[in-house]
Amino acid sequence: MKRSKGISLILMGSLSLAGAGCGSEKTEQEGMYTFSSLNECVSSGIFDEAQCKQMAADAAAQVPRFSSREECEAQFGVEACVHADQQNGTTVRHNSGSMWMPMLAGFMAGRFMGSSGMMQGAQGLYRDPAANPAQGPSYRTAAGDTIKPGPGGKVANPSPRIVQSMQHNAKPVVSRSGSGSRGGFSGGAKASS
Amino acid sequence: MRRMPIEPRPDWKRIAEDNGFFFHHVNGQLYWDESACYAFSLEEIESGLEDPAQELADMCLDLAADIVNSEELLAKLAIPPRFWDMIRDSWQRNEPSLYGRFDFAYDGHGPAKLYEYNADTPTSLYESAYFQWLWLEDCLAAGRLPEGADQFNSIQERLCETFASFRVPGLMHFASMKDTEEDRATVEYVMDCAAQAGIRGRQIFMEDIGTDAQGLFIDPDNDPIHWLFKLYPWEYIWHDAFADNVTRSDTTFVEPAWKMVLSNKGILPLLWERHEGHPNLLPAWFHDPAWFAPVRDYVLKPLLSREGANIRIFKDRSLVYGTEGVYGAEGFIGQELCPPPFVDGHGPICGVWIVGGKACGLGIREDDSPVTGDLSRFVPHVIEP
Repeated sequence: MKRSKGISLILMGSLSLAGAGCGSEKTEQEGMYTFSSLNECVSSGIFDEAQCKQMAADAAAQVPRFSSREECEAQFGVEACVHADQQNGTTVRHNSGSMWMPMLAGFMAGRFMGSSGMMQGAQGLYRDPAANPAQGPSYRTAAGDTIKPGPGGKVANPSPRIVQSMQHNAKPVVSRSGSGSRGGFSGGAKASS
Repeated sequence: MRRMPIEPRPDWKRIAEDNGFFFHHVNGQLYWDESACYAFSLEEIESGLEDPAQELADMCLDLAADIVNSEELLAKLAIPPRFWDMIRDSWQRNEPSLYGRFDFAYDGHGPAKLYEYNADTPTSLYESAYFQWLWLEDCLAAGRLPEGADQFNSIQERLCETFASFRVPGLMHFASMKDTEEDRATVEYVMDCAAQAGIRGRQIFMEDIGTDAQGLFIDPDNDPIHWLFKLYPWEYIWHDAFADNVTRSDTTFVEPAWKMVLSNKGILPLLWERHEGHPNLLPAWFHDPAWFAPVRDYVLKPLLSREGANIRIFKDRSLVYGTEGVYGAEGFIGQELCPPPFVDGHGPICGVWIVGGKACGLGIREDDSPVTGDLSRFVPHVIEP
């Protein structure tokens, strides 16, 4: 076969449509939320489209990799893992040879007070092997903490451990300052050929 | 190779927009045209396009190795001297290249002839790699194409593989210019492929890039830009206020600086000098207005140009066709005239994609004028079982 076996998009797509024009409605309140898809994040109105995309991308980039199915399943449960060949149908060759990864069930996005003011970050969520569907949605984090969101995906009273796990790729909501200059790239009108 | 009418998917516009493809019409004109497709045999694809493109890609790397170490050649390509060190360094450090596209005249009869190499900012990536693939899968599922029909297109798979080999330690930035929806969507698509390879990306606009107190690049949030995918030609950077910041930056650019020597039509005469008579090359020369062109029918192209701008066609040494544009200040090359093949009244140009150094897919644009510009239509292709 001379074509890709099975490919998909994780950032582009209907999401762009759903988010059009919602940019200014975001709130800047502290809180953590779970989203099962990028679309859900955008339509929540809590974050704007660019923020949702950024956080979904951050979550996807943090998915842990394992060199065998057994190692992956030992942490994430039976049938929770896919070979990188199957994830999005895309062959991804990592230098480490780590080819097994757990399937993302969603991501958790949050704003919280950190040492340097309001922070914003995200991490991936995975299926909770012990979930009881009758009791509402339940996820687990890569570190193994269980997340049981309430209405609207809100995570009520997250433990300090969970807040901490959100911090490692979080960044300040308020920009730093002290730049040299802006706008030094201002070439022609249309850049591609 | 034949042009085959086919029933468009009834809801193709909705499918396009659901998949983030909003530029299916450009300036009110149809751009994505699935009322027809080009049908190839496997032999036509492999011997006619894939193998020649791979060979040319390898020849271009050999040529680049010569150019980066030759001030004479760098000057001949009109590359500003202040970028020469940066080009040499990026080549010696083996900075990775993501992609490029060879444009060929090809109709299945006789060898494909290379028009040019879009080595820095090739467009039509998303529609070649993803939407064309989706079209084929949909047509197979609906029985519009026979079982076993295939496509020369592992572009997205190869993009993800190539990104996975980049070893980006932290955040990677992905930038296009403001006010071009098509470029913005393409950059979003490239970032999507990178994310699937585990790279954390952030999409920005070139105009919003700044410098910190040391003159190093920062994004709108003042975060440092260590890796930058730019849908922004190197020759724009030559004339930008940030040109000096670029040459002393700590940013790894994709495409890398050494691609400047290949995204230049001067490689066409240089390839011809080194491989005169190669079946996939057209005779080409550096044009000197004081001298007769070596052939009677030829095309003059600026060393640097895009979207078919500033092209002049001569027959019997008389100007018969020209396009407008702002390019040409750096000089021109001449190339023997080779009109696009006419297949059932349409002029297809075969764009073969090189990703991570490997020929891996085909996108066809057709035009009804002699020069393929930005108003051409994208028509999908199929390999017949």
